Amino acid sequence: MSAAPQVTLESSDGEKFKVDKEVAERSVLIKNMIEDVGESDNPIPLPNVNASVLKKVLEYCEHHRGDPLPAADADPSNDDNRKRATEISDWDQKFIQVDQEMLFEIILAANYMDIKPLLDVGCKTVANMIKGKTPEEIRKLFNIVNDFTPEEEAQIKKENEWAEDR
Amino acid sequence: MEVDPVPSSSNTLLDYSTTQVVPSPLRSTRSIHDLPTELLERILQLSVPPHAPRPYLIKHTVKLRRVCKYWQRIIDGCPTLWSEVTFEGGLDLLSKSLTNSKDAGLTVKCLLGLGSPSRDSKAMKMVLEHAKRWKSLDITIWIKNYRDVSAYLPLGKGAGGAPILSDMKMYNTVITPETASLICVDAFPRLKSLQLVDVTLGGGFGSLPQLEELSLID
Repeated sequence: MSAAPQVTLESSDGEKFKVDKEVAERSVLIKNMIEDVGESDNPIPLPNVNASVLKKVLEYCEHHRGDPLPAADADPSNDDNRKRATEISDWDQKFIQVDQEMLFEIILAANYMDIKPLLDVGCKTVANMIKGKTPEEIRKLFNIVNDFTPEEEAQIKKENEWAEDR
Repeated sequence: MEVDPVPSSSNTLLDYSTTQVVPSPLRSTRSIHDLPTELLERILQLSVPPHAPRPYLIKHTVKLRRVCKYWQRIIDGCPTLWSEVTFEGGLDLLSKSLTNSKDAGLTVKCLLGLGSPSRDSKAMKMVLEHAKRWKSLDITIWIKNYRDVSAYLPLGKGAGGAPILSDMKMYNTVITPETASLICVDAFPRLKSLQLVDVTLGGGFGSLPQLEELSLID
């Protein structure tokens, strides 16, 4: 029995990862590169993804190697779609339990490498962190500077008094 | 073709047994504002809890706008975050919702009888101009004898109707021969669900459209 075909990926910091082609092709970017270039033993460069992030991304791709391809985007303004869209499987939840910096790196890598299910998991995770929080709590959580002047803030607060939880 | 050797230090998937993050001196510090605008927009859309009591989306939207000016700009440019239109926040917010929602389908929540009749009339006029985008319509009348609702909703009388409206709820109103025309099939060709809660049927309500769901709740 012949071994599964493999490809080598090279991170931005020069580290090489030899993985099954089937796993690497969870990334639409890599799949297209392989199709464009054809079979080659040269490493595929990923200049926007460093080794520690690529390692995490490949861990995800390995776990989901046999999954069906993602469906087209559903309308997120629809309640049912939104409910489905915010559900995260147990494995994915555990996988994405990383520090904030790594979480954003994974999202950026998934976006760059065009791995939609991983991008979804990352976005849903950040969305879940926002849910139920006040603007002050959101700023604190993501270290966002409040750039409204006190006057502007007072005005916005006044306009939106009716929207405060009662 | 010459094969590039893979150094022995190369990683393989067999090594992936933990999710521990190894800090790298080469990695820059990332924050939520490093995400492209379209991703932050998607995250903000996903942050609205599903099946929350209405009006929730618009409350969530105006709350998120208070985080910072960057979020305010993103939110103002995201039509789906403004697609829930309510009278509760006043005419300015209603106007902002109708403008920022652009071409998005609307969930409209009309509260009549709480403010002045002229304010109600203005608000109804504003949402009526966007009737082609109504997907869902809730009408609550706070004064039982508020019969003038038919004047505010001339949809059944050839005003263009609401072509994508799929569900409608009316609370605490009186259906007269005039208001019965509100549920004219021609005006709402895609209406699937109609709920009448605490509604008094005052006649003229003889020919109900064929709907997937019709409920009358006292």
